[in-house]
Amino acid sequence: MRHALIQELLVLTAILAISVLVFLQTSSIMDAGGSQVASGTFPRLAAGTMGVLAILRMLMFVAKLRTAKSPAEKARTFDGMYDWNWGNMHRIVAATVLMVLYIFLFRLVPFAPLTFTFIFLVFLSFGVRPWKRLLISTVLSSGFLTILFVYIVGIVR
Amino acid sequence: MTSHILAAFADIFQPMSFAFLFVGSALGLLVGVLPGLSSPMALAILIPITFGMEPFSAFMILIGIYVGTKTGGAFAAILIRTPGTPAAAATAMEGFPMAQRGEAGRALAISIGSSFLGGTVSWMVAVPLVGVIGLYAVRISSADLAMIGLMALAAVSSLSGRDLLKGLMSSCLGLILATVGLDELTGTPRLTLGYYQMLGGIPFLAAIVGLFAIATVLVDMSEEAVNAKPPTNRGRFNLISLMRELWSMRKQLAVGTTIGSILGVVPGVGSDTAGWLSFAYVKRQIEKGFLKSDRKIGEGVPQGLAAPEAANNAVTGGATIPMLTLGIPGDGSTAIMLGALMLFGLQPGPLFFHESPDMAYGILIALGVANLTTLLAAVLLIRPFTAVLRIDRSMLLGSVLILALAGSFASTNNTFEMMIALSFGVLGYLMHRFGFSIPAVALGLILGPVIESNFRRALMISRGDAMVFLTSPISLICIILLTLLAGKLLYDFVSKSKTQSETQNNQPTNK
Repeated sequence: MRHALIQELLVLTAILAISVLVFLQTSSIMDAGGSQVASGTFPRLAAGTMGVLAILRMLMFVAKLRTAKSPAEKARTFDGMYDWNWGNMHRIVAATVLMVLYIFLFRLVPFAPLTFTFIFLVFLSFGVRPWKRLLISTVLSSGFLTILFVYIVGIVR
Repeated sequence: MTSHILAAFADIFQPMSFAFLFVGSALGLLVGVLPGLSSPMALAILIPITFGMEPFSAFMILIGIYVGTKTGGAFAAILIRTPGTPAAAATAMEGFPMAQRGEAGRALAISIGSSFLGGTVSWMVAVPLVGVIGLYAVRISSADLAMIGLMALAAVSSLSGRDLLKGLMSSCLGLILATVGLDELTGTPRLTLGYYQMLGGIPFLAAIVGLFAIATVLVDMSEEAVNAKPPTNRGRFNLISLMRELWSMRKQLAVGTTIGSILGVVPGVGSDTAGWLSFAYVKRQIEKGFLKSDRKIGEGVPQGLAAPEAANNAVTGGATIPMLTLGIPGDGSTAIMLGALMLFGLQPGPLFFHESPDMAYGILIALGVANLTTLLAAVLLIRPFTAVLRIDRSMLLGSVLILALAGSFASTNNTFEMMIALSFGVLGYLMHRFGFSIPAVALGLILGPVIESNFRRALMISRGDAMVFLTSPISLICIILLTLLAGKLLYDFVSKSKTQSETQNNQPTNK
């Protein structure tokens, strides 16, 4: 429960930090466009509102926790945070790293079938078993997707 | 107006346009069938592919997808109790028990028929209303538009997320992101972080692909896969029996359609709420004895399947009204469609029907005809589409990621957009993880420029007098509604604090 509390407060602090950053970033453009329509007014209004809401949420969250009489009631404060399976985080991290790699490869050879095949193979390896089925489906579907995508893009462009 | 409507019908029934609408509906059904793939995701992925097409043809596909997903969502809900889309959640309550007792064919037929009726009737009501509101919309001032946009944003953020405050914070984040780039009034760069690529603003398409496609896949990957398989024995059900059955539940269909049409107009409420409300109506009718049924609710009552299906499709008709007349999207899908209009160089809003009547009336009529093409596609393709449920999820998710990233590249041939899509994907995943609203950010991105430009224009016209927002009745009503929302927030906060102090006062006496 303490972890969830720290997470929640960290997220709200991050939102506050974004609000402050927007204020700092827009300080130099507050004189552009005149007092009523200054370029920085609107982002500041949005950031200010977001910051106030984050503070309000923090206060409400803490108030909720303090009023909770039992551990079960306290747990309910976290909006089902405990349902989340952190055990699968490795998949998310791996998928994100793969996507960065994919973008890097794409920069070198756009729409290369080999790139598709490679990435598809790795994506699939997270879920599909047995390996034989994985290999067959990878080659077939990546080839099909490549042809389909290049064909469609080629036609419409 | 009549001549424009007739011209739109003629355009849509051209073989190619009709074929595109049919393809869109079939794709929508397919996406709807697959749990985890949603209408906004399909639209986000398809926009880059349709980008080089004629705007009218592209929109035939997009509208087909929008309407098709509403119907397709019911298939998985009935067959494997996993709604293909959130809108079909209520459908599973009665649809799945029907499938379990060997009446899957009957349940699927009722859902397809109810979807068609709900969508078509609501569209028939919406067409004249759009015409009338479209005529008056041109008189709306900048102050009104700014406040309507703000109210729509607040409504979506407060209703779409799990937490009101987090929803509002999400829309504020969307508004901040919308201000990135050159200020259109003064030409001053804002929040670009030194990247010249950001001078034109955050690429909308890449952001949407990231928020709705990549984030959804990441969320899906982090959850354990459901390995339910559809039943093989579905039972037979013919057209005449279906028509008889639908006629016998005309009252529930009418109520579902009315609920869906009304809720569709309200930004942020969405198809899922409409479905649940209609289901609650049928449940209440059975419990009170107003509706005679051999079975109890939850045991496969056909009326409990028909009403939510009619309601979640009727939302499309209601949502058309603010989308086309005011340029205010009601949910993620309509926000993406409005964004697509802007990408095609069109400006949705009060002047849309006057400046681009062919496109505006074309979209309006296509939304109705899409119900017909969806019905055709559902009848013709129901067997292969339900077989898709047997495909391994990891293969689907891999395909979506590849198409999403490649699609964001295809729109501008720039890998920077791919990085933006990936960043927004991770942002969307984290937002989902911590209970923030993704549709609210998307709506903030779409409505941000509309709200800001009209807000500043109104102030410039009034020479800085903020009273301009209180003198117009429409703007005043919006401000009152926004104040009520703020009042509710404060009331919640004060009542929580009161409970807290009461608990603390009671504690010593308890001891």
